[in-house]
Amino acid sequence: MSGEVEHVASLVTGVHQGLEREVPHLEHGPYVICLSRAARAYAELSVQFDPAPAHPVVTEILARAGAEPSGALALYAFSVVIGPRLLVSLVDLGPLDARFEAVAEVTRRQLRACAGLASHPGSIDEPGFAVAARSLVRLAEQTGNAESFVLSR
Amino acid sequence: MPAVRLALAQMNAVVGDFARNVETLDRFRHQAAGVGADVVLSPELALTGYPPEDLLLKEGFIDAAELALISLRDAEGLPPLLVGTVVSEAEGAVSLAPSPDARNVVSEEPWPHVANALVALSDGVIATATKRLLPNYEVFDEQRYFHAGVGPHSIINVNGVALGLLICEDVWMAAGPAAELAAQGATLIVVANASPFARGRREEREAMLAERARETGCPIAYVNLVGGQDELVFDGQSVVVDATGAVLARARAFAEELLVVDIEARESGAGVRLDVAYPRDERRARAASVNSLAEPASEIAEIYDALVMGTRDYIWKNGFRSVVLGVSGGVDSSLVATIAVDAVGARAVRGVAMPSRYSSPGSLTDAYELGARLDVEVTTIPIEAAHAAFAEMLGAGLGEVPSGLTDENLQSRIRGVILMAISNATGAIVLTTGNKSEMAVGYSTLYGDSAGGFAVIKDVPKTMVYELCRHRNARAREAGDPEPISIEVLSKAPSAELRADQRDDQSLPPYELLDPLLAGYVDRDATAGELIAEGHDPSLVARVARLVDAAEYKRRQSPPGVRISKKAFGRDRRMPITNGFRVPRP
Repeated sequence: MSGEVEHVASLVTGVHQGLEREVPHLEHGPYVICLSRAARAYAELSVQFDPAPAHPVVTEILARAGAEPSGALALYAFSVVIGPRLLVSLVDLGPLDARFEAVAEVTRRQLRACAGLASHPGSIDEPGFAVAARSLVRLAEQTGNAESFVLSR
Repeated sequence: MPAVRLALAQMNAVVGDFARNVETLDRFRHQAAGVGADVVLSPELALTGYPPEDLLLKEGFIDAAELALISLRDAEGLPPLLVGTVVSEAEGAVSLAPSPDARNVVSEEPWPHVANALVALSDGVIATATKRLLPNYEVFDEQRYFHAGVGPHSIINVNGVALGLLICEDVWMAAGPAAELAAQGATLIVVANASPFARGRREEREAMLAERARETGCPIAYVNLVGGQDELVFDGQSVVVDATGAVLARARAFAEELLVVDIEARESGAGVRLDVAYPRDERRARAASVNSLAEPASEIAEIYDALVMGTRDYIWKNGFRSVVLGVSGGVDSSLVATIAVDAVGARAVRGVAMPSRYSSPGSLTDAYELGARLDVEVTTIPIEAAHAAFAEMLGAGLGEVPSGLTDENLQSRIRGVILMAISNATGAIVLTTGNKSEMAVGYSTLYGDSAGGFAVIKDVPKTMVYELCRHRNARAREAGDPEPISIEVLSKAPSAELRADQRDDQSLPPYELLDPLLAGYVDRDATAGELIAEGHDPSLVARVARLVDAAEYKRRQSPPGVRISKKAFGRDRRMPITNGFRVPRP
């Protein structure tokens, strides 16, 4: 497996495993359903690649987000922090592999599904949400992933 | 060769009762852990129940299925589970056919975008197989609800055995999805099914599986649902065949069972690897019943058991605790009473004898005798007073006392009113006792003997009613119990007893002639002309065809009943009521 393919596989695995780990513990139905569907979609993607270790930054972001019980922060983590960076990463890598387009398509689809929940009442209005959300962005930035998940060489 | 221990969870699901279905799946999963199974396989749509029908058009139902799936994810120390459920994807999902697809005519509605799926759970979802071939014949309506799966097949790898995942119809097609899976490296095909019972279906399934095993060179594990759902009864009889098509193991009919099977298959590196993490070697050594092989019963025994399970499940799944039925001393009501006792127990069954001025003394005696043999309470409510009152009331209104068919149907309707009143007073569901031959030719009274909650033998031709009675009596003899149905009931001429000296054969052809004709006209959809060409009497064919066509409006208003044939009245046979089609003689 080339470095680029392995990198994408690790991102897909990170999203899949991270969501799978958190989803059973989250509480707010619409968020949980949306994230569960996303987890399944990334499971479908991950089987198209050779097994790869989960991307550590993706794993960490989702683990921290999962500490907020409603699922609002996990939804934010996926739809604002991880998803867009994953898409930019794919653009940066270019059409090296046919599977990349499938990853991009699934990601766009899941982001659209999450966007449908933007107006849903939930924990997003609670004090502390903004601080927690900002800390996830900062984690991405501090690990060198300000705009995309960069491939270390 | 590597081997896997599969646990086939032949379960009785309840449509829409997610909590109960999750509990059942959990119970089977724990049982499977106890025998060291590598993987548990559920039937098709085990989580939602089958068929969910238009519940699938409700977004809330699809969401509830997703939440139920989440509740199965956290299962530490338990074997992985392949669970049948519905999955929803945003439109344009890569794994589902876009609309329209060559194999599928899809709904115009963009949402829900739903697939019939088999989800592999092991510390979260690891793979999702979606049903490729959507049946749309007989009772099946899947193209109304589902998008067909496309793209690469799902394969999971356990101990070097590559399990290819299929759902029901997918395995029936020669050179179809099963062959595609084998070509992609699968060495064991596992199939989740909701295959309803019909006469001869088990033999058909096993012959098909043997053919598919030989075609693919793979063993096949086939798990079926069990239990009643409205008209349908799922018979179970889950089965595993080896690569030559020989049956390795078979579960019982009409009972829940965890069928545990050790299956050897060719080694393969294909598929997503499934690590079975819990300790199981010691448990395996203790497992007593592996590769058990239930002997299939005779066809008539299967039909009887289907009627019992279909009745029982309709009653309890709909929240009833008891049943009431009219007992006339005739063979139909005797059989239905016996089935009811076998389904829910004698204490939950009440028979009501409703003699009229035309009832023979023998009929009342036979009804009491049935009650005694079945240990069922029989209440007697004579209808004479109501009959006389109606005659007087109607006579004043019509200018003449009702006679002929009007008077006959009046008696039947008075009985219907009494049974429905008892139902209101006690909460018992009314079981009707009409058989398929009568239903076919309209030999029943609307709002009379056809009024009720469940029509137990509506798919049983009259000649088979006798067979079933003899079968049940033989079972009783074998068990050393008294025969439930007396020789008097079995030997007397069928009669509705709605006028003096009435017999069925005064209005209908003898059942020995009628039933084969109905099998042609109804079950095989033969035209009158074709039946005449087959040698049936032309005037009889014309008469029977006319009766069948004219009775469609009655059948459309009749209660549901257990389906035992491949062409039951109801979902299998959707004829227009307003119907001007007449086939001229050849």
